[in-house]
Amino acid sequence: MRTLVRRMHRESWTIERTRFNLDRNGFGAAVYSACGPERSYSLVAFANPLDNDQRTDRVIAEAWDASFVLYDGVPADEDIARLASRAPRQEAGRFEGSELVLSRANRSMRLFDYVCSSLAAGVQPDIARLTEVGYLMRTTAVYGNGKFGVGDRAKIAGRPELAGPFQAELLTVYLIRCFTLDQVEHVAKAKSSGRFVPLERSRKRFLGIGNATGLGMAPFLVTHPELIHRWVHARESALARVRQVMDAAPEKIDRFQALLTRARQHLDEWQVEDSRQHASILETRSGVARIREWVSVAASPLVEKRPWNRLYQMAEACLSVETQEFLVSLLLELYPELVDELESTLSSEGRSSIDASQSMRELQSTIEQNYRWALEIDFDHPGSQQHFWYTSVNKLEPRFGNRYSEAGADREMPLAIARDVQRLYRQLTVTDDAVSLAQYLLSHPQHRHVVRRIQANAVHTYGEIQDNLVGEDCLPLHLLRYKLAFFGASKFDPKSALWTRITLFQGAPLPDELHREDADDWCFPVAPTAH
Amino acid sequence: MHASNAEIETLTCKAAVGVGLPAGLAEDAGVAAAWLSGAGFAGADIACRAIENIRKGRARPVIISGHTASLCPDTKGKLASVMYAAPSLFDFLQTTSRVTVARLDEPLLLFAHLVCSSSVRAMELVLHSVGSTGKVLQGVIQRGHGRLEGPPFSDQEAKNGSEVSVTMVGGSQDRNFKPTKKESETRRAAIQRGVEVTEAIWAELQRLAAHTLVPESATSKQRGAGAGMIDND
Repeated sequence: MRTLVRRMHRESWTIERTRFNLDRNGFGAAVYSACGPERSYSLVAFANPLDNDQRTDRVIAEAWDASFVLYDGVPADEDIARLASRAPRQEAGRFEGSELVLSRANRSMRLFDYVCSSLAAGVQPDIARLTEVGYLMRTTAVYGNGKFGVGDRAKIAGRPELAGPFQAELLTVYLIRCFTLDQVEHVAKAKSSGRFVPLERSRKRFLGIGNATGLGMAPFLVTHPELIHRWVHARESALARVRQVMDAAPEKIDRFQALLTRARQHLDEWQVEDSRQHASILETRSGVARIREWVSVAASPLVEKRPWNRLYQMAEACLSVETQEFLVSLLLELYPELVDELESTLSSEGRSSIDASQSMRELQSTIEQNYRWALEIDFDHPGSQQHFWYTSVNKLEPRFGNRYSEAGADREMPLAIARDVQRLYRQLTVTDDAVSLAQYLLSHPQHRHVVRRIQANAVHTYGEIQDNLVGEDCLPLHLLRYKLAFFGASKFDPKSALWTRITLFQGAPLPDELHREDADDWCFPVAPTAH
Repeated sequence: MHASNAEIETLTCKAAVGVGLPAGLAEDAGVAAAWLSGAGFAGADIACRAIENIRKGRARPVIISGHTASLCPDTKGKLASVMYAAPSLFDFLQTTSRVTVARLDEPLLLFAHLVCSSSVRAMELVLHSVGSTGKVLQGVIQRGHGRLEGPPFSDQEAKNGSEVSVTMVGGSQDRNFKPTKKESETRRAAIQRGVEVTEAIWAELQRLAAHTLVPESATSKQRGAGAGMIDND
């Protein structure tokens, strides 16, 4: 998200609402065009009535409050007419190469009507209520890269503005945010009897877009090891650069203190029902308080050489993992001049192939070196294969099942990497060294996917999730959060071990604020002050 | 109907898994099918035929015949499935300069696989195929590009398969192998607009891919995704 907004700021993008044909209930069509220096992209939005018993965040939903398409360019009337019949059908519709992203969203019943009523009555919505939810609508899927006929990733991969991973999808979400803010004001105005007030700017900026995320993200992580490697490598490189800074300039220390204050408020406002996450937030609040203590005394690590490295080491020794990660986010904020350029290293379009000239002994040695964690798992213990990942026949919804009590394990997705590596390794130990890898794979093609992976990840060292993804202790939620964190998502709000809500673009500049000097300063969004 | 290249790749892969192909081979088949479609061939049709050949028992996995550079079907009288043969053939080419396959069912899919794989390994190859009617076809492959000489391979009589040899001709950096204008335009159009697929083939691939899906049950529906059925909040 930050990459996208920085680019829009740097290149003076404009966002224009070119169509807004909504009725008094907010139903109808709208178009928003985002214009960059070379190209334009348009969000085509359709809002429709939806019964409460139809509103679900699941993939198996059949209808939504709103549906969206990111169009490559500016759509003609006939394009909008075509999309009007297809976009609301989502997965059941077919799309063209001129469409880049397909999405849908549901209104937050906690907030949408409340904000609408408040504005119609001439009063601003209560900030506490806005803080509790953080968005007017929640997207339940954002599809790109050729899904349902939309344009392939290859179509946009060479365009600087969309070359980064998921930039088209995030632009879509940013424009959906614009739509929801306009829609709620439109409905409020239509329902008011002359007392309508527009949503006050700081409240507006504080509203992002919700997102409900399920299991679909987890297979993506497993099937894109090189991409994941690049993301983590960029993050680790950024952290390493900051830790190597020899002296903390006074303005950097001031900035750190200011960010700490903001981060503390952000943490205070981060409320969840999930007990595990709640406990983690409490621990992080406490950890951030300790960091503040450390840097507020005369013997602060910030007066030492390599101050950020020292602070990081202290956190690593004393604070929870979640607090350490929080600190890393803070540190990266301090030195955009050192870290922002790494955003250009996040993409990966390549595909690895098997090096069949590798000897069996070398392959075995690679496994021993890089997959020790997988070899140590006892797969004879039933709990180590408690789960399986699968795709349901019901709208292809990804699901997580119990191998011993549910049917379908014979159709599991190939995500049990640890188990498959171990199976391969065991076979290798009883295979004649004289057999070539090509010969071996000819007679054991079931190992092909894992051999390719082992070889690729010998180079892409951060590409593997080093855990048993079918074990009884596996919490898919961690995988979802991992990916969402790279998007820049905030207010992680787990609803189960398999499902989470998040907020995107909360605190991000509004379209008419993209030119501001501080357009990039919206990490750790906090509630505005009431006025 | 219109389809994206990513859809061709994904659906081919799933359909191949649906008939029992191991995941690693299915992934390769998907990539090859998408390349063929993007090059203006009927990639989905050809992939669908190859998958059906496996499902119906017409084509079989390959084994080494005699010496290491010759592959043939593991069952006498059957065809060699390109979905098994292509990845292995490329494996062998990394240590051997010439590999042959007897009774190969879909040589064009092999050609596509070699093109895609050659981009990673920077190899230069010549594919020579003789159909059972005696028709000779040839293709040149170099670092991610491929060019056919003669009519499309899919014209070859398929009943008895084709006798195929692939020869490595070295990594000559000086050879100027670039796509023609027409080839580039075809590829560009496929990337910009996607490709055309017949609805019948699409439906057949979906039907085969459906074998990878788990039927609905009450437990699965209620608990499998971890979210509630209604979200009015």
